[in-house]
Amino acid sequence: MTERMKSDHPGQAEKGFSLWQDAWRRLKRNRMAMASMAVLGALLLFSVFGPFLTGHDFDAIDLDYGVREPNFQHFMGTDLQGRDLMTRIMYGGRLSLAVGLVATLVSFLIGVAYGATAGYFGGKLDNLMMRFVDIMYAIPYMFLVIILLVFVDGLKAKYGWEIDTIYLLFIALGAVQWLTMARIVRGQVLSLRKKEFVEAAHSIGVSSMGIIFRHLIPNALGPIIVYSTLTVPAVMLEEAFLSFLGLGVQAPQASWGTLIADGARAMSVYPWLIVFPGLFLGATLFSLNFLGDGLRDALDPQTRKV
Amino acid sequence: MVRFMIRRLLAAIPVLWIIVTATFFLMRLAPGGPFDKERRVSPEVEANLRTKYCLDCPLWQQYLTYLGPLNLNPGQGGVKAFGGDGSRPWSGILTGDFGPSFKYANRSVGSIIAEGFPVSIHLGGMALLFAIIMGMVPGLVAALRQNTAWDYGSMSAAMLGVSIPNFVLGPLLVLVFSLTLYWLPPARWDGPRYWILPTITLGAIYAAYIARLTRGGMLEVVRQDFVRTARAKGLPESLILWRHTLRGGLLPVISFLGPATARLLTGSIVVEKIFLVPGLGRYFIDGAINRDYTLVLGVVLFYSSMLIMLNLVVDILYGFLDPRVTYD
Amino acid sequence: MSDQGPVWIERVLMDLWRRQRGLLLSLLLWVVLVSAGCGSDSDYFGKVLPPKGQVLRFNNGAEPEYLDPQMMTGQPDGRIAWALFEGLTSYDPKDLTPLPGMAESWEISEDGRVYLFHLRKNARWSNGDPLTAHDFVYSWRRFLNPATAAQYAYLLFGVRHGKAYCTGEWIGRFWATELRRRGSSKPEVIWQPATEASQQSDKGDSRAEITLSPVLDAEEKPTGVLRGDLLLEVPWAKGRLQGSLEIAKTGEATGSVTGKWVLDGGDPVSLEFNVSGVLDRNDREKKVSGTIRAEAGGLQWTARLEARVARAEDVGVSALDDRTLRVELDNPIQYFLSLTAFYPLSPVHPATIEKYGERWATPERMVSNGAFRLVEHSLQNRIVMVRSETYWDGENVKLEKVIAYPVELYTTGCDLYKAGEIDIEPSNYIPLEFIPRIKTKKDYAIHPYLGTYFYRINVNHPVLKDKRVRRALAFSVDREAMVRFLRAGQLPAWYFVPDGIPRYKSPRLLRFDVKEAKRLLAEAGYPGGKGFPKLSILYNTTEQHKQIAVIMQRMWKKNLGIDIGLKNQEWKVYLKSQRSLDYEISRSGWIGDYADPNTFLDMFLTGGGNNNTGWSNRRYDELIAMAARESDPQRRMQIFYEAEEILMDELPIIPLYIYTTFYLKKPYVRGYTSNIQDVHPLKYVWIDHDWRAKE
Repeated sequence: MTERMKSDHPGQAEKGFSLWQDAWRRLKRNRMAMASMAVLGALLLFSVFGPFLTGHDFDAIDLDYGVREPNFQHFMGTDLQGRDLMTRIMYGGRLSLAVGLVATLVSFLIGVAYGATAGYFGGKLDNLMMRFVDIMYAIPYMFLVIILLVFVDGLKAKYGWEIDTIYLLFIALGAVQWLTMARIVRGQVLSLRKKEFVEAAHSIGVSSMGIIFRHLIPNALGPIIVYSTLTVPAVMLEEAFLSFLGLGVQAPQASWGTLIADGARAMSVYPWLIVFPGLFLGATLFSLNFLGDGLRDALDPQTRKV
Repeated sequence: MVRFMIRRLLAAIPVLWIIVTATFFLMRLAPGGPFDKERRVSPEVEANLRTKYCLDCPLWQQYLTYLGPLNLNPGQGGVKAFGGDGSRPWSGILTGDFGPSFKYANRSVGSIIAEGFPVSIHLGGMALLFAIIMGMVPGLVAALRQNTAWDYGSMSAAMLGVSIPNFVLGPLLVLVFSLTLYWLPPARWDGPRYWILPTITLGAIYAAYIARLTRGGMLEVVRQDFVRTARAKGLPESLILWRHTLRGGLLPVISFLGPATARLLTGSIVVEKIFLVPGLGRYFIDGAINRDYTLVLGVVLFYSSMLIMLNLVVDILYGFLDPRVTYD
Repeated sequence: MSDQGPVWIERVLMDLWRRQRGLLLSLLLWVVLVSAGCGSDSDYFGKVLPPKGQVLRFNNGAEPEYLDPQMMTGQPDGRIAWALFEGLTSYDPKDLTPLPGMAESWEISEDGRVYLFHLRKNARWSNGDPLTAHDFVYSWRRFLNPATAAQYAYLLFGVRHGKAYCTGEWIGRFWATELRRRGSSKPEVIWQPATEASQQSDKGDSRAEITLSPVLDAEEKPTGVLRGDLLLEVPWAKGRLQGSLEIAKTGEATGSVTGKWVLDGGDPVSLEFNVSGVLDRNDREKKVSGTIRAEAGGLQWTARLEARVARAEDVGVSALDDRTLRVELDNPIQYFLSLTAFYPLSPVHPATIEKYGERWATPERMVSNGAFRLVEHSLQNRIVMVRSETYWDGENVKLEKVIAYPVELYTTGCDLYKAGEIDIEPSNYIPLEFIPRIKTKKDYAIHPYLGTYFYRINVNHPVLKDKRVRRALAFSVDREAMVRFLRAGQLPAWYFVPDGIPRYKSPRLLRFDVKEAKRLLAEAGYPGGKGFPKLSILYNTTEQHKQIAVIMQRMWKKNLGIDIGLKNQEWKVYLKSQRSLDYEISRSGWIGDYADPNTFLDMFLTGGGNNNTGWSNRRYDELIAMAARESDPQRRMQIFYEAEEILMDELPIIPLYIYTTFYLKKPYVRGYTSNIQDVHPLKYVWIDHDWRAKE
């Protein structure tokens, strides 16, 4: 892939071609990445519009019908309460995709900015910022979530505010996922900041912000993107734990995370309850992964230099 | 270097203090207490329990008592519960006494950690080894043979590793190796045969992360000028790999490994529960669920000390692997 | 190695991957599916291979919180406690009727209030010490001691002054000074001392009352009073004086109110009561005193009352000699001999506790008296017990070794069972999903259980305050469908007190009647569910509670047309919400402590610690109090029946189903029998190595 792209791309990007436009043009040539995008788009469509087509409600229980293997009425079978699994996966996809992408984005933004700042300035500031990360790592997350919930419940009771827990979910997930990201970015920046091109930028008077965002981060983008694509599944599964605490999806709704967690229990008896949600999660991951690789290649300043 | 280490270790003290303080007050903000049960204890009995553990004193007093060794009002209202070996009253963490556990009244937090940690280290160490071998080797191979079957194969395996959460992988392994093939026992912690499945379950996701990060990091470095220069100079590939590429390419892995090692060594509640491993990991969640205040503080303090140590190790490794990183 | 090798493999692999990716993946899927489906055709669930020797390995469900019998509460604790310790009586494994335990025989006084237990000659501790009646006195006092803070202590509240000692109430002693005819100046008789009285307030305030005020009748009730019973046994009146005493808490130092007391079938008695002083719960030395004057049938009685906070020696349990234990109860307790078999009432070894204090229950230190003794306790790993050589019935104990594993995950427990690593997977530790697959197996057993799953309703809620709404909610639940879903033989709960309690049959007032439910809801102002606010069901997060809540939500939607939301909370948050009535409808369950309706019904007394619904009914309270005093078993059950009728008419709770115990037990485990309380004395259990021959 990279070989091909190198030859396709002569010279420095001209004015008018920003880094992103440039990258987009290159990404379009990466077939794997484009296929992945198509898959992701399909998953999104499946989740958003699918429920209207299945002819089943996600919460229509039928105790007498009960749990059934995949059949022509229910392509992916039904769960213990006789609910159509496919419809539930579609609904779950809405939430899981949103959570996965938004929380990852949040962690990406915070983590990259934080890590790069710490790594670039180094010294005392770096020390201080990294110690804060250590603290955040160590404080039991569960209590933070419980208190957040209690606090919001209190607000509800007091002022009648209705806050959709999904926003809280983004906050709660984003709040921890950026930590490792920050450490990784800082490590990268720490090793990059003494490099010639940074020194050069420095000497021609580029501001610190400029150096960080134009030079350091693009150069560290590889691991950042890799880690981001890894964050998506982590976030989707973490969401299942948070819904245990009462944050996130409320029954009878489901997310891929909770469907998988429920299915894991019944794995040896009703394997389809785990296989299907698992496949969807897997498909999302594989596409994100290839998309991530493509993005990395497309954004890589090293390939541009050639 | 030594000065740097000393500075960092000194800096750890306020960090630990902040962690303990924040955790202490956060826990108390959460509703419910250690003695709330479905079957309510009679108010008098509850009052007795609260007196025993000093739960009815003002919060700041409890906090200071927890830190110790200044017990603000000895005689009355102080903690009557016993810490350590149960022979003397609990004296606070500054004296090295983590206090009594609220839930397992027969044990002190210190003894719970002392009992669980060796197991966690054992399992975590094996899982770490597994993760590093099963992560770095395919990661390196994938990077060196980019876009080949090796690459796709190992990266797909890594993606599987990431996308199969441990609470699915564990039961799946049990299903296949214990209940279908009857090769390995499904749970318990009684000898090498029992160690295999938990190690794989715990290590798999880390292996996957490491594989991905190794490949990504290596690809990043391979393209860099100094490697190209080295290659242009005609140095043998193996030398380039060991001398130049690995050093830089492993940086992201190393920064990931710091917190990951701390997490691996302190155990995982999921793996411990699935395989009945008597490690430390369960107490992070279970302690919080039971509102076992002292136990939570104990394990948090323990975990964060480890985390800080390991992050320090990572930073030192950085200096070692990448000469451009300096500590000033 | 040449370059050829890897390249060749590479090419093949790559080829395979490119072309056969779909095949490989489906192969993998197929392996999973097949391995999941197989192994289900034998008579038993998994491997059946007895362990070598007489060893029993079972899943204990969780790590016990304590190994100190007087502190233990949960089921995992109980299973260990019953193996290590034995009370005065023990259970028959089949129906749990009390059998001799540490006591080889007993005598019960005619009024059912005094028990004399005769201990065995060969009752010994595991270190060889003889076990005496004094050990029981020590243990029960320790159990009730507030400093011990035993959670089950209320079980002994029926013992004379047991409650007073545990909760720091005052007890008083009447010093009858004189008795004279009205108008006469000469006293006829003088007693000293005459009788005892005790305070029975339910507030944990350490400052006891200043003024006690017996009240004439309900209408004259002063505001802000504590209620309780005052029991007086007055020799001259040939009977017991019983009545409800209202204790005012005015904050003043002195004061008095007179009132009339009616004797059971006797003359009215007027009573003047006057006590002053402040008692401190923590000061058991301080005394206060007052006078009491009573008048009846032309007789006048004057007495002095001296009161102080109860002490250990006040508790009605004493050792007449080394082998005779006397227990005095306030009221006859029909199930008392079952209580004495319950593990919190087991004896503990005084010298060990005096020596080691709280941390005595370790393998090195523990001295126990049961059929087994503790040899290993590894936290979250296992508890190992071996047969005790000093147990009185040791020759009939067949198991040599018992290992308990604290497996919390149901699936892990079932896996261990299936792989033959444990012999018993205990009750209810089987995931719902597994039941269809194992219900035909011979090693799966179901038995009714003394527990009810129900929903609490917050009756303070403006909508749920209306009884019609509560009835509508209760009548629109299809309990039959619910238990069909649960599959483990649970019974629909048409009443609250589960079946299986001797001599008791619950009133069946509930039914599944959608028409009636709709009518009631319309009557309450929500025809067809219109205008009904969005209430929610609160539950703590577990899979089963979630499934049931989802079903309830659907049933109410379908049958009443109302939208009910679901709200899950983490365990302690949920408890807190339930206790502070911060909910609308809340999932609950209750397991009886002993086989008597009281353990279910006294929960809903006004202001009771486990009421948690805000419901209060005066008649109900009276009935429960009456039942406590009733000595005739038949009449007592009748009273409970009446109380349950009120409860099921008012419906502050919606019973859903009666629990069952369902468990897996390998066929070679003998002597492990089902019973209503899921108690399995291990002394009767043994491993039958020839089990196949007997199949």
